[in-house]
Amino acid sequence: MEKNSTYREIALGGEMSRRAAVQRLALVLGGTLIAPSILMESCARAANSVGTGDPERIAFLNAIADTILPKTASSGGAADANVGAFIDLMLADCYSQEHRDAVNAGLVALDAAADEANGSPFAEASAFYREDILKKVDQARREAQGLHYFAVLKELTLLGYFTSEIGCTEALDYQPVPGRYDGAAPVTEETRLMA
Amino acid sequence: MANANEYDAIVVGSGISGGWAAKELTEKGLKVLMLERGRDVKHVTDYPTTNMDPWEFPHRGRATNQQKEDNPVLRRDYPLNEINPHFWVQDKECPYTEVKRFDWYRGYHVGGRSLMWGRQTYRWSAMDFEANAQEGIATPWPIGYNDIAPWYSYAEKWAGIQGSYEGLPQLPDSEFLPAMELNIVEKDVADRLRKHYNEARRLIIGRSANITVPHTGRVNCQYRDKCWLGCPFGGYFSTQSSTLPPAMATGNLTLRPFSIVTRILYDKDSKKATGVEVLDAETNQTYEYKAKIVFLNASALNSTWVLFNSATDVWEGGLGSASGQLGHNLMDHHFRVGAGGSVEGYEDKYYFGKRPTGFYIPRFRNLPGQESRDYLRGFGYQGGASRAGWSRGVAELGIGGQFKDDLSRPGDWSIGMTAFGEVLPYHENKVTLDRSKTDKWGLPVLAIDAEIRDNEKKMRVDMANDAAEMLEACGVKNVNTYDSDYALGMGIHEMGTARMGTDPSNSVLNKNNQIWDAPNVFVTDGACMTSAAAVNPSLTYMALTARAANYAVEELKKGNL
Repeated sequence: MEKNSTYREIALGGEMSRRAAVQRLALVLGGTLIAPSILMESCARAANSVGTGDPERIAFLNAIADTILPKTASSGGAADANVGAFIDLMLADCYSQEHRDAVNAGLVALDAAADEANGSPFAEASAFYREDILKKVDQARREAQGLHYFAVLKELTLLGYFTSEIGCTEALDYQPVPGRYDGAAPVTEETRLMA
Repeated sequence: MANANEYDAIVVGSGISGGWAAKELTEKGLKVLMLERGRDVKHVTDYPTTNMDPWEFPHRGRATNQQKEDNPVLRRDYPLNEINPHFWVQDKECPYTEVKRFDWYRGYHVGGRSLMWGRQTYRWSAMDFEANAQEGIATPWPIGYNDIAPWYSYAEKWAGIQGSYEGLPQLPDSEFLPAMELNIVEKDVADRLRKHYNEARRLIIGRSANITVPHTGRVNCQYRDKCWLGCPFGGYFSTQSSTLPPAMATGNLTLRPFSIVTRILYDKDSKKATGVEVLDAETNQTYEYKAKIVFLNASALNSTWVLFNSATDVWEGGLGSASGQLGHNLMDHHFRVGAGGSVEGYEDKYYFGKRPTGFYIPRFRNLPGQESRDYLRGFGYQGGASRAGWSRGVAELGIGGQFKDDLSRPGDWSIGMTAFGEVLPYHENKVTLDRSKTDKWGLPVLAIDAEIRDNEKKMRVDMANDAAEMLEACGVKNVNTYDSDYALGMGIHEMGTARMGTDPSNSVLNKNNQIWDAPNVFVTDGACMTSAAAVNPSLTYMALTARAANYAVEELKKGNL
């Protein structure tokens, strides 16, 4: 029987404590360790409401997702597809506590770092600045050994967006009933992935 | 009819082989009762997810933690998901005992696993039927290729099999509908493979029970690749699309869902079955149904379970146990080992549509006249070439609009293949009744005690290395082998446990699939298999069932049953 690679779980292993996540992000961003008071404040905002649909948390997740996959000339962005709500649901329903803890710690660190460097929480930072932060975090993700919270967020962002109605119909070529098969279709400027 | 509970024939099970039994017996004029332990599934209207868009699945197809917690076996592989959970037996309701790990993925509903099957469809060759006898393995098959060949043709013409004519002795051609197309990379690799191995190895389209032209009133495949959700077009063979409609059309079929057959009723004086006992899965009431013949098509392990529970007043181990073979010789196909690599170029080509099959590389090891390997039998490969999708972006570095637009376009080409190998029939690989554990209905469960052994483990070395060697010979880059490990059952090709043979002392069934000790009981599902071959088994069940049904009706007419 065949598997659908679209739904294949990306292997995620290892362990990363919240403390380690915070420290790693601080290092990546070149900053000092973040003050505990800011951490606790951010924590209340970002990390303690998994799966509840808390609007502030969803907005935060949408800000991250939309920075990874923003609106372009050809298609809407991840926030348009409300990928933040999808990420929150997936973390609650399909991921382990270890993954949730890692993501929550990452969110706290991300917010706090944005706060410290830019004077505002991540979601309120400019698109340019958000992209700048996440590029560094993405680099850290790639270099990390074991579980990195941004690997989870990035994977869920891509899954959520490219299987959303906006992602399928605007970014990709969605053909519910192709009706035929062509094994050597020419690629043009308009060619998109089959959704 | 003298009694409402009397029929000419009873068919136990409604999957691939049960559907065929019902079709053949009703078309030959018999009044048939088909018993299915699960619920009814109506063609099209009971495929709840088949027309859903990806975004309509809240978890986009993935299993939830709750599902995983509820299904410790299903979660081991792809059957646990959000797309078609309604077609897989939930572990909690139907437990079994794993003496050794055995992944048992079941479908208890009308149509059985014919709704979710992989549809790969291959004939066995003469070599496959002769191997046991030639090598002194297990017991010889009581039939050869020539006995089954006309029935392969018969089954194929109705079921509808797409494939290409190749003229290979180790993989006889079927009666094909027009073949699906290899994509451009697969075609080029196929050409290189032929040249490099001087025609001795071949890459062909995976033969499958998908129809490429309108066939027997069904609409041809629409290239959605959503077969396992049930096809509203009837684009692939299932009980619902192919065998149930003609059986119903005769007016001779009574289908009774929620009917768990608990035993075959056996009359020791006439040495025949008189019918079956049924436990109604909804009401827990017990019923008896009488018939002249019984076709047991409950799927390999469940057919054997029924036999374990039948005629125990005559044979403690159940009907068919006198041979000492009932429950033994459990087989599957071992797989999850192969190789893959990247393909350079072809950036100007993509594909349109979702083809519901891949390519196939027929067996090329241990063929007659070849130098033999350090194991018996062989394997084939299933694979495909494709362009990377958006999921490539998870591992890549990338953030922002350009990243998104790049991911929306086809990525690089790659090609990969997985070997499917023959598992030998070991007497030690067995199922037994575990009376210490019961299911939702208080019925004893099966205990499964089986594993792959030395022959399969040695074969797996070739299965990985040969794949890599062929890909490299065809110019594929960055070739990597893999062995993702395998536990018996994962192939969902349970075979054996009530095998056919030449003599009552070595087998449960004779050459016409009759139980030696009850000639009016026919077992034509995977249980009957005497060996496994390297190819997917369902077509052989179809052919054996049609053949046995024809024989049964002839014998009935002669008054022999």
